[in-house]
Amino acid sequence: MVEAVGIVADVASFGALVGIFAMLALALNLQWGKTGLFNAGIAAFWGLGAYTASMVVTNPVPTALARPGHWGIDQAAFPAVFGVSTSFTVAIILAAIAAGVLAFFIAIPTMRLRADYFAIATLGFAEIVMNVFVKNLPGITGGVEGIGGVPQPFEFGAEGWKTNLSYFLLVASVVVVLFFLLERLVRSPWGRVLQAVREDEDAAQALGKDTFSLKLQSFVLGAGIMGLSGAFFAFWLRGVSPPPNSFTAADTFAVWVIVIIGGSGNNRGVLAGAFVVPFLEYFSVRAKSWFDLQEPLASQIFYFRLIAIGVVLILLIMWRPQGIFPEPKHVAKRPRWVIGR
Amino acid sequence: MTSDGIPILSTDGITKAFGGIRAVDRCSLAIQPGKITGLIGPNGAGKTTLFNLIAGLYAPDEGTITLRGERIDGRPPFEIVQKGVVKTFQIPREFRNLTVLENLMVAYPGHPGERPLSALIGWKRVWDREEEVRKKALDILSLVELDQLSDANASDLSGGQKKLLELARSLMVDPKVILLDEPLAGVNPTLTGKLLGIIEGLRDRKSTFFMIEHDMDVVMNRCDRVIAMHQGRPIAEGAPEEVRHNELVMEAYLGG
Repeated sequence: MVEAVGIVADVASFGALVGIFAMLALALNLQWGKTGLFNAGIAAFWGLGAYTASMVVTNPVPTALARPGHWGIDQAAFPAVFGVSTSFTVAIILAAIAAGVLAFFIAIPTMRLRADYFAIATLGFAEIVMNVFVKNLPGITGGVEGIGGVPQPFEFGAEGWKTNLSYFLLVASVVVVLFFLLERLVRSPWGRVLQAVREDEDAAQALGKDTFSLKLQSFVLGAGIMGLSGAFFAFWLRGVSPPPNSFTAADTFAVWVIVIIGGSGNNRGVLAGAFVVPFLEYFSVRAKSWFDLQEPLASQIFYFRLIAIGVVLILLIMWRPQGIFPEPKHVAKRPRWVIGR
Repeated sequence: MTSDGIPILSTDGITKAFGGIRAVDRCSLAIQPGKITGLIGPNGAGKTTLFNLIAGLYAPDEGTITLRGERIDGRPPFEIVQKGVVKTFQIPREFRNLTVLENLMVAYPGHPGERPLSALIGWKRVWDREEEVRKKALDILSLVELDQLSDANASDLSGGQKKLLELARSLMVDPKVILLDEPLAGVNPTLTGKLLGIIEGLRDRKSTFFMIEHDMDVVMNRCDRVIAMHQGRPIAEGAPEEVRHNELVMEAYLGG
């Protein structure tokens, strides 16, 4: 019984992480898969969301000797609904808005750049935001220590498996809702015109499309979803810490791997892809005990995931560059239900 | 300068320099409505640059461009299209992974479903409009005889079919003036006849065409008016016969 409970807790925790990466991958699939925006700054939108959410659900901590301190909100200000503090809802919404606003301001100077320059610019911005600002604002962000003591929406004390399982169910339902909303969006005339921008921006502009505005919409919406994912990541981790612990370029590339493996332009595909990266991480952490490995393999198996990701990527690009699930044909499709007369 | 009636589109002294080269140099010309105007001139005369200036891909360094009395110079390309001037590309720029039908549907101007919020909500009127757009696109596809290929990927079309698609797509915006940059280059004689037939049919329904063309047979027999450019500005303008016998034009072509 004790073991079964442990497995539930473990798998639910893993499942929640899959869901968090699935949100990131769905967002990147909108930006890159549909619009062709080479966003290499995912870590910053994710990180900003995580930090924003952490500040909303924790009390402020003043700076003291040997303690950086961080912003927060007096938790007594949030009433509880059905035993869950409303601070979580506020945190999630503010996280998405903060990341969207950051995306807007990054987009204004960089959006006119062509794909590869845009990638470099977003990568640079992300590094600046996380490494220069977030890391060096003790009193606001907790500096190098980050923010600890972030609660989860559903806490069951000693019954950790219940906490993990309910959190997994929450994340999973958010992913499902996001999936359907995004499918509806990309299968609309809006999705079609984004795809035209992706295929040939000049041609789209020559047909009267305001491509700057369309790219901006896609970029800001995608970044907002990345911020949302960041909020769920902060709750999952029960805290945030700056690079090199979290929110690094490696996280950005992990999301890219997910989208490329799953199938760029296919939301179902990237959901499938979202299992791959967290699973390899999960596997490489636990392989030591599962297979009773001896040294030196035991301490090195953790790096197995990096090799595995590399091999999978190379094989895929050689034999199936469109990903496991290729982009569906026929973009816009009338949904089963419509509103109005 | 001969002129009959009020021009639909005119340029007044526009100049565009790239480095030290004035590709278009104090160029003033006028396009008459409901006519096919040919634009000829030796290589480097500034024809394509002139088209890019009119379409808003470049802003002129000097001068003004006027569409039906309204200045359009310096406006972004998408606004100029919305005002009724559309340009086709010399080398077709189809949306490769969209179907032929989608290539046309996406060109429809002001589709309410292209706003993310209305797309997300899924108003019935958005999807009813989508049906109208589909019908319109299918009509235009049958006009250019591509209706059999409506479900094919645009990248699978032949070179000539892509030229047809390029023209068909531009018709989706109900343009008042269509700028055609060498629509017949690399097109076989049968298809050339078909394309010209379509263009003349549209002209008879009051569309205005401004067309860069090198085939003198086409220019002399199919255009209503001809403008010859040399070194960034017009050197002759008028009926094809007049321009053909203009000394400046012959000199420009023969490099005299």
